[in-house]
This record gives sequence, C-alpha cells and structure tokens, in this order.
Amino acid sequence: MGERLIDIQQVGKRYANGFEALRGVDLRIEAGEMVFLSGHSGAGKSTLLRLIAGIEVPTSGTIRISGQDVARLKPAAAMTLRRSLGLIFQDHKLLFNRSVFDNVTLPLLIEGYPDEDLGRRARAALNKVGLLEREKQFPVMLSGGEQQRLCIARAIVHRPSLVLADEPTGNLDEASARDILAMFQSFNQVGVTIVIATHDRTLLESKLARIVALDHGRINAAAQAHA
Amino acid sequence: MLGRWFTYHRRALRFALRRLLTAPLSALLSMLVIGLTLSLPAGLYHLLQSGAQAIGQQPIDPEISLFARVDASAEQIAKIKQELARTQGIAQTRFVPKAEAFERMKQAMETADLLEGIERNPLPDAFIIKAASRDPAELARLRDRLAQLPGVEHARIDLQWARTLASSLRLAQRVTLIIALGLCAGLVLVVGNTIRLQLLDAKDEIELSRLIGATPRYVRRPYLYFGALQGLLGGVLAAALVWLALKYFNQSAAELLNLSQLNVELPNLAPRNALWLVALATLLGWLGAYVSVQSHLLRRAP
Repeated sequence: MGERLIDIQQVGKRYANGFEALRGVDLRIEAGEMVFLSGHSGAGKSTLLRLIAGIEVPTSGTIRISGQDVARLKPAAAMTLRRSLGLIFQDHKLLFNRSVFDNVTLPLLIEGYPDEDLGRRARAALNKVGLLEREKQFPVMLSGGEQQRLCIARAIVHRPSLVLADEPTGNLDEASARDILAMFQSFNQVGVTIVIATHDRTLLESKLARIVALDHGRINAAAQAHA
Repeated sequence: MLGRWFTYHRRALRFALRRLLTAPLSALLSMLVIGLTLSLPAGLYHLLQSGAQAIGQQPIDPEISLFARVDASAEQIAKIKQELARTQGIAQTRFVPKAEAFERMKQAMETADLLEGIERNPLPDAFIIKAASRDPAELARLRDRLAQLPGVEHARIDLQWARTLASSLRLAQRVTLIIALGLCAGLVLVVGNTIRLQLLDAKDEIELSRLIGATPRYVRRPYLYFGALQGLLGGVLAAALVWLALKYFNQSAAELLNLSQLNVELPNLAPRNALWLVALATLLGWLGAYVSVQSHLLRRAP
C-alpha cells in the first residue's frame, strides 16, 4: 500500500437539531486504495463523505487529506481542495438543461482549463464511461444507469487522485451496478483512490475493496472486511 | 496563471453577451429602463448646471435705482448729485431726468395716446447708480443710505431677480441630485432583480459548481459582466437621449434667458460628461449584479 492519503481521527458531527451523525470515527485510507463505507440509512456514510470533501465541518476531531487539516483550510484553499476531488452525489446533481457534453465540462470550466483542452478531456471521460455517442443529448434522454455514468464522467474528467462517491449504484439493477463497479475498479487500477458510500450488496459482496461499516455514527469494527 | 485569468474573464464576457443575445427583448427593456431613468435627472442636471453657469458668466453689475420725489426741486436734485459724488462705494452714476423717462415710457407703450391726456409728468427724476461692490450686504447698506438722502423718495437694487434665478437654479440642481441618487438606487434594484431571476434559473448549476469547488468569485463573474453590460448599454442610451433632448430644449431655454436680457448660449452634453454618464450606468449595473449574486450566495451557502 502507498502513503496515507486520508487520516480521520476522532471525528464527530452533531447537527444544529441535535442529531449526532458521527461519533469518534477513526479511519485511515491509503493512496490508491478502494474503500466501501457501508451501513444502514442514517449510519453516517454520506456525512463522512461530505466531511472528507470539506462540504461540512466536523464538530470534533480532525480530517487530514495529504496532511492538510480540511476544517482549518481557508475558503480559497478549501475550494482548491474540492476542485482536486472527484465527487459523485447521491442525487446525481445533473444539469438537465445542459447537454451531456456541457455537464461533463463543468469541472474543467471551474478549474479554468483552456478551450482547446475542454473537448479532448470531456470526450476522453465520456469514452471511458461509454457515453461518447450521447454527448449532444440531454440527461433526461439517458437511462438511470447512463445518468450515473455521466456523473462518473463528470467526476473523473479532470483526472482527480481521489474520488468520493455517494451511493453510485442506488436505484440501479444488478447488471448496471456491476458495470459501475467495473468502472471504479478500472480507475482504481490506475492509482485513483476511491471511497464509495454504499449499502448495495452487489458492491459489498464483490470483495473488491475494503469495507468500513458504520453503525449509528460509529465504525463497527466487527463488521469490517478487507478485499 | 495570467492565461487562466483571461480565460475566466473571456468566458464570463461570452456568457453575458450570450445572455443578452438570447433574450434580446428582456435586454432591450432593461436598457430602456436604465436609459430613461438616468436620462431624466442627467438631462435636467446638465440643463440646470449650464443655466447656472451661463447666468454666472453674465456681467451682472449691481445697480441701484434712486428715485427723487416727484415734486423735488432742481436745487434738491443738484444736492443729491453732490451727495452721490461724495458717497463711497459708487462706481458710476447716471442721471435720468423725468422728461427723458416720460418720453421713454411713451415710446415703450403702444397705447401712447392714453398719456396724451396727462397734463403733468407723473415720473420722478432718477439716478442709475453702479455700485463698486457686488456684495449683497454692502449693496443693501448703500441702498439704505441713499434712500435717506433729502429729496429721495425710493431706492431699489436692480437685477436682484438674476441672483434669485441663479440661487433657484442651484437649489433645483441639488434637488435633481437628490432625485438622481434615489433613481440610481432604484436602478441598482432593477438590475439586481433581473440578475436575481437569472440566478434562480441557474440555482442548480450554481449549487453544483459551489459543491465541486467554484469560488464565489467564479460564480459572480459572469453576472457582473452581464450587469455591467446592461448598465453600459443603458448608459449609452441615456447619453444619446440627453444629447437629443438638450439639443431640442437648449434652444427654447436660451430664448427664455435672452428674453430676460441675458445673452447666453447653453452647451450640449460634452463627450467627457457623456462618458461619465455611461461609466456611472456601467457601475450601477455592476453594483446591482454584485448585490444580487452576493445575497444569493449568502442565502444558499453549501
């Protein structure tokens, strides 16, 4: 295994309404690793991903990515960190009034890539997820599985070293879920660190990644498994 | 780094231009609102300023008209002349005999026949006095002193109306400025509201962009360009409207002032002032956009 990429120490998260989503979570993820965060709904999987991405701030403890304390980063640095990640959201967050191509280029535009790189990189990403032929179509014309693949293309278009995916196979049939898993596996094989929050048995039973089980905001040590 | 900066700005400008071109009617309406709203106070202010300057440049020498009693004798008139010659603060004195004044009145009145029946000249001898000072207080003191001279019936400061007019113009300018400030605030809100509607339309994209690392500056930039462009176009329209309106009104205004014995020429909007107007409109558009985007970002912080 490589160097430590994510170092989570005694992280807790309590929301304003008093709900405690995470309690004393300790987790270390090495660079190049693929990890499944498993657990029932409300176990804290999505919260942990949002904390790692710096979208939310922990109430206690520290989260370090490549040695940087995410919660202590200045706003500009926090945005720079977020731009370096590949994020896949549970609710897809696709732009339905934009074409497939435009959806994929959004991270490149935000990063300020020159025009000549946009098409090349976007098409390469779409090709990886098998959507190159659909670049001019709109997301509403895609199936659920294709929409999910479009999200993946958007997450990897700027070649991040860390991808955080929240329920990437939710609502997909088993075959589509296996396709998605195969894609993540191929990215992981070229060195991309992947953290997937999922309760999909197809993924969890694949034994392709380390499983970190969360239960009511705590890591369930007994349920952890290694690939 | 600089290349990336240019890329961001080029894309933001392209976004703003595309927005303007894809909704030309909306853009035109906004431009009209900005243009009309700015042209009214700008035109009025310029007209008032030009008027005040023109009046200020007039050689308005303060004059005091000194009227002798109708029954004043020649000796008394001679004494008044002597007193005037001794009095400090008088630059020049012109005597207008009652006969001359009566002849002038006859000439001035078309119904001169009416005066034929008057046996006695009802007008007094008069002195037109040019004071050395233009200070209103000194003038008033001199008038009061002259009014006390034996044989004098009445003393009056002339051209007071010109000063009153100049003061009125200055007051009107200030009122216009206050109205203009109110209208400018209104314009910021108008542009802000246009942008707010666009932001609501793009809220999903903005939310996603923020989640994947877009800075507030990145989100703001295209809308700032849009607001500034709207303001710029509105400002150009306002300058054109002001120029046309002044070209039309200046003639009438100059005629009015000339009727009032003031030989004035009111200038139209100078290119420099037109540029200021366009710059102000651009700034207001930019400000409206900034306020709108900033409040949107604060309300919907991820």
